[in-house]
Amino acid sequence: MAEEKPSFLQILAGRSSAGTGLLFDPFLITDRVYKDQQLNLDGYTFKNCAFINCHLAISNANFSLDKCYFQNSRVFLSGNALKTVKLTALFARMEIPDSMRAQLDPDNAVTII
Amino acid sequence: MSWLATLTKSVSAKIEGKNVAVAILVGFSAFAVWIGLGSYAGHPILSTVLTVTGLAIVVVVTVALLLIKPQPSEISEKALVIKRDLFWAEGMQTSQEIVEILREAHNIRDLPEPVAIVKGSATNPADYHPISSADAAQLVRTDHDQINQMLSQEGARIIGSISASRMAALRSGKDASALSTTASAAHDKDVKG
Repeated sequence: MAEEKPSFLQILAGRSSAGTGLLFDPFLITDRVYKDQQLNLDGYTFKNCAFINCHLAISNANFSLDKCYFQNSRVFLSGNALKTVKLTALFARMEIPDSMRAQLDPDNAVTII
Repeated sequence: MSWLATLTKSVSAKIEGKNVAVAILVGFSAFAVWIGLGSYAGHPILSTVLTVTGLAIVVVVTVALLLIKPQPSEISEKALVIKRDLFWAEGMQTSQEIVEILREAHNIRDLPEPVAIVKGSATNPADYHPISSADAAQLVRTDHDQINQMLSQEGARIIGSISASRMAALRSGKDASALSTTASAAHDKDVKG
């Protein structure tokens, strides 16, 4: 039986976890509520934080989210983050593997690690 | 006395680095002139030669110093290697400069002040507890200081890594460019792999 070839996105997802490591571990921010603010997510890990009516900027995409909550917030992409999304959008009609999806809990908490 | 301060700044700018050696030469020549003038009675010919030579050196060097453009001290070229990217930072002298470069490389910006802290779940607004502006500002300051500390440690690790690579290259008989060659090879390998 021929082995099923992984899709491009599966390959991309498989490499993404191993190929983007940094010397600097994102700085941990826990249990905070930001409201009506502009934030740059790069360089931070947000854990159990809430973003209400915020503008979130991402460029290097060296960030993590753990059980965070978003309400009426927008994301502005640039740099490597924007290029990654553009490439992903190119293959948007393909089935996106679970490893490329954000984890969305029943209580709407978002985790991206 | 502003003219004196201006003159002092101009002279100090002109005698940095290699020019310090020139300044020492001028001082030594002036000393030779002084010796020559003092010993004229005993050795008139030698004294005349010494004085004329010393004066000529002083005049030539002084004129040259005034005419040439100020030259800053030579600075050693230093490098930071961040994963596959190579950042060259000429004139990087202090730990704070390294921190600022790393902060920029990681695109880390200070966060704004939070309006509340979460005691429970972030998905439940009832668990939000407002904090004062002073407390929020203190959180931002603490974050900034702790990030600086982490970046400083990262800088120390990078510098240590570079030093080890350079020492290994020197021990193996390669020149100082071995570091960049190694970085390029690693990059090629990553791209092909």
